[in-house]
Amino acid sequence: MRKPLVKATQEGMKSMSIIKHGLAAFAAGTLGVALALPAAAAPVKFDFWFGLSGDLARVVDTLCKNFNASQSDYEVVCTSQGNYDATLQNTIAAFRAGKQPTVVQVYDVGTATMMLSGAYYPADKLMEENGYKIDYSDYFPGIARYYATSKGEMLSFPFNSSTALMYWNKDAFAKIGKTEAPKTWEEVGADLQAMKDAGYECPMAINISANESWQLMEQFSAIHNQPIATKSNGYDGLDARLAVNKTKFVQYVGDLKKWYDAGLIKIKSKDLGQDMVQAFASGTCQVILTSVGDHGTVGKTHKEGMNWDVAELPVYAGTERKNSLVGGASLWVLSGKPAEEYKGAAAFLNFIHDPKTALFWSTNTGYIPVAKSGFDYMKSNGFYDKAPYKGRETAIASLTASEPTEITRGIRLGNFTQIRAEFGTQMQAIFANKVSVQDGLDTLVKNGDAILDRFQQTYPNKTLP
Amino acid sequence: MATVDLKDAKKVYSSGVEAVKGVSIAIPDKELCVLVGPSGCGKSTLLRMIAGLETISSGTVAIDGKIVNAVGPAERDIAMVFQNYALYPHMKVYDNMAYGLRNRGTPKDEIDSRVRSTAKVLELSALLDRRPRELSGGQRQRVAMGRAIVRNPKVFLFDEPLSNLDAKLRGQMRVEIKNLQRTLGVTSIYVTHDQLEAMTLADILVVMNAGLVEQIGAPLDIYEAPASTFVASFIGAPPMNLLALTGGLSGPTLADGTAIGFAPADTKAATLGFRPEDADVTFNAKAPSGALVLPATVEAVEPVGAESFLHCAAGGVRIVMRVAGRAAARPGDQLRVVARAEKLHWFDKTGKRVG
Amino acid sequence: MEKRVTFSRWTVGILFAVPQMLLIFTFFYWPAGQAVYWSLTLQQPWGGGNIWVGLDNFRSILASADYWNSITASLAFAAISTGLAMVIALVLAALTDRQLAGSRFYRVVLIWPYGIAAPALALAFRFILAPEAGFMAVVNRAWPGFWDPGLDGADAMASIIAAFSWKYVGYNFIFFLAAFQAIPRSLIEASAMDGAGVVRRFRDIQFPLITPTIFFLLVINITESFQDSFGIVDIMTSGGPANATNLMVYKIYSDGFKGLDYSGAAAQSIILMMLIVVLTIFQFRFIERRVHYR
Repeated sequence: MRKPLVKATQEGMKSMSIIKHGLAAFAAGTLGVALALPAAAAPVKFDFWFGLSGDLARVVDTLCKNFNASQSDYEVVCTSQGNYDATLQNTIAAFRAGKQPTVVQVYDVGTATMMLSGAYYPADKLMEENGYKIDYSDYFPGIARYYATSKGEMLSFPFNSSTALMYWNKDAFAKIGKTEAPKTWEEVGADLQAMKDAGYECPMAINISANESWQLMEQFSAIHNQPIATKSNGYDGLDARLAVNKTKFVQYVGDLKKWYDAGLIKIKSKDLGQDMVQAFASGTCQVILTSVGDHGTVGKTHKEGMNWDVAELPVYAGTERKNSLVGGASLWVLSGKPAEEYKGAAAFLNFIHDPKTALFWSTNTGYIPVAKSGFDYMKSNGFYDKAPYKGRETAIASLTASEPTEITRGIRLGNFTQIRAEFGTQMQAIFANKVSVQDGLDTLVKNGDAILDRFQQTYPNKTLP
Repeated sequence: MATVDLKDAKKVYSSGVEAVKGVSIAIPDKELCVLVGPSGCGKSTLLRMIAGLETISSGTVAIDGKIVNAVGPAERDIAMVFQNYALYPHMKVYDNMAYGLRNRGTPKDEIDSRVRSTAKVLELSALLDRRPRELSGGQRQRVAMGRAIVRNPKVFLFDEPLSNLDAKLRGQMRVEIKNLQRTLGVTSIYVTHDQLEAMTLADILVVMNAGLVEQIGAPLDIYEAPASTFVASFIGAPPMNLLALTGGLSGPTLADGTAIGFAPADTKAATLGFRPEDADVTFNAKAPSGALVLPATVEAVEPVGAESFLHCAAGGVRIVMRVAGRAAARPGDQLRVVARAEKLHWFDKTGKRVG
Repeated sequence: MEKRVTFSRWTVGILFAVPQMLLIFTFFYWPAGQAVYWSLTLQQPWGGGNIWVGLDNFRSILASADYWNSITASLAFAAISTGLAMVIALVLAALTDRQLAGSRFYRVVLIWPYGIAAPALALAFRFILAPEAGFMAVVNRAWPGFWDPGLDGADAMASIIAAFSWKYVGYNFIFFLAAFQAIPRSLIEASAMDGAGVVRRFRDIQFPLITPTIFFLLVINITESFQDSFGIVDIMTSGGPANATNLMVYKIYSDGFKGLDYSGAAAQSIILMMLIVVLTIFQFRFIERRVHYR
């Protein structure tokens, strides 16, 4: 099973990643060998690889245990691969060696790559074949359409989902005489200035790495109904190209930069000593934009007595708010596995779809339920009524703010990870005054288009399903 | 050109080990002084103290009447030939010899003439462009000497310079060093553990033991009148035969009870000794009076050509006798060793010479 | 009597060489060959197929300003970090060899860093050099905005150079000290008696005699600065800000593994390999001439 790893090794390079991934794949392969020899009457085992780590990985492990305890025919073996990138990389390496897991968690922007891979077993088909009736209209439309094909088929199952929210410090806003979160960016600008004048060192924190493409570029564009790329953000063809240098996003980056220059925004990242969430929870910074998934962390780590809340991301005045984008990952069933493992995988996906599982999942993580039934079940249980979960329903409100448009259903661009990296690079260049806002975004589009062009060339004569 | 004076020089290492425990030696100008002793006796340390490579814990070292305790090795104007020659491996022979002169700012043409004339004396002229690794052991040795000579220093120091050579070459170089030293007339200090080298080279011989000087003097004086049992057994090959005495009722006896039959030269005498060549070996039963007569049993015979060594058991110990030419004795023979009284050496309980 | 074993038949010799040849083939020539093949094709990451594109991958890389930036950054990183790591190690080793005060301390402490994995080391340095929380926060308090590796590319480059040099100072130190100690003491003493002071002794005797070690370390340091820098970049800067620390090896990783552009990454790794080969040949051709082997 090491063959493709040797292939993947850039010869002469002894980089850590290769060793790391080599070991991971080796371990996974060994595991595979071990799993290939089950005892006669034992349940059918199948692999599930996921990209969460730390507390979240422990929750997934519990979820797996619960599934295994709920029935005796199948046993899912859940293995964390550390993060989303590594999960996709390791799965590809394993797939090329014929040692792929049955179910794998792939992050949102990996969807286009997966759809063209030819390496999956369509989830809807799997469920139908195994006699599970899933009501796909039960999924929140913003979530379902992100992962569905242009024809509406669910090739994968939404799993952990989130969206971006604005976290705001009520105490700081009270100082400037406000009891409500700002609704527009114009309002935000004024509030930040007022907080600065009131003596706050860091009215708002952002970070400008690849990771923040999600809330700064993708969520912003969706809420404002601005395209990220042509061809309906890529849903309509591999010849989609970036468009962010001509949309309202340019103004937004310009404002962020202006506020940064005026000292209203500070850059906070782990590399610099304190990330955004820590900066907010410690009371250092008063506003951040981040995932609802951080709701639990802030709740657990915020400074004693600090009053805070979450709100939907602001929009520019006069904008008709659209739904925000779903973030997170979906579960893909990979091709090339025996039928009995597919039966197990179907049972596992059905288990995850259950509203009770949704409650367990959302209670123990910051993720939101992906289906209306789950949301309703949780609401009826009083989940959102009190701390620490109160406020998380804002995420659902944000996701369902409107019926998804051609643009707000999601992003389907190849190698989007690289485009996000390019976003980080250009934002850093802009904020370091190396280039102007327009020049930086033009370069982002130019380099991003080169990535898209390359992706298109790699898959000649192929179209997205 | 220079005298070297050591006054109660001591070396105590930071670990507390006393390597040199107070040595005083006065070396007159132009003389060759040899420090000899077993390994660990402090002779090399003493040499390095003179060189300035080791600090002096107490006492003084003076070169040409000037105390140099606080003077660095470079400023003492001395040159040293190291045991392993310490040639600079990356420099040609020429540069090895010229290095010290260059460091002292000698003009280029003077360096050249001095290196070439020294090379001529040492028969190195043809080797000047070679690197040390391309030379034989003997040639390297000459280069090491050349490097010392070319500087024309006040004092030469030699640290066992011949020990890495084979026996034949060693004999040859010994003579060469002696001649060279005499020709150049440079005060020299030479360290060795080889008593033959010490005897043949030294104008002044210093026998050292355990950090102390046992005896200083002309080599033959030391040979003829060793100041202690240590010197007696260290100088001379084979060494002096030493027999312990115990006081009996009718005078001193040897370890096996043999009475020596006459009074020792000193009442404190506790050991008697005689050189292997200073006694006669006879099968004759009649003993001359006033002589030590020892019945002996031959255990081994070593003929070396011009002479033979007889290893015998006598007086309760093993002794060695030197006889001229071929020995008539065979292992197992019973014979007598006769040493005349004036050829005997006497030592007290502490090993010091008496009488 | 010494018995000499000789092989009458060459086949036996080949037999002994086979395991080694297999290893070299499996772990070098075969993957290298694969990389060459990949670099001439467009590979679908999931293995669905590929298209022969000739030298297009190389053309597009060499036409990319980002790639040239990456080469420049790598060369600057290699030159500065190798220089720093070697000079500091050389000075420390020379001091240690001279048994100056504290030498025992250096000897023990300096051996540790090389044993630390690059990512762990990078984590430590990230903390130390964090502008708001770490050691540099003190400097920033005195001169606000002085140290900002998050936005200032030069600061970020300085950070990874510091981390890499720190690691290799220890490595180089061990070799330098061993080299110094392999110089017979009597040579130093002889030169002292030849009237050479500390500096001159170092220049004329010690330095020439450790040139084989210097040369060896130069080759190793430069090569490793192209390769071992990965973990440090990954943890400390992720290639940023604005690609300022996007060294070649990191770009290969991010394009290949994160971006799933296997073909572009393969082409980059071929270029990196050639660059290292050329650098090494250059070093052997032009620098080794000045090396004195004993």
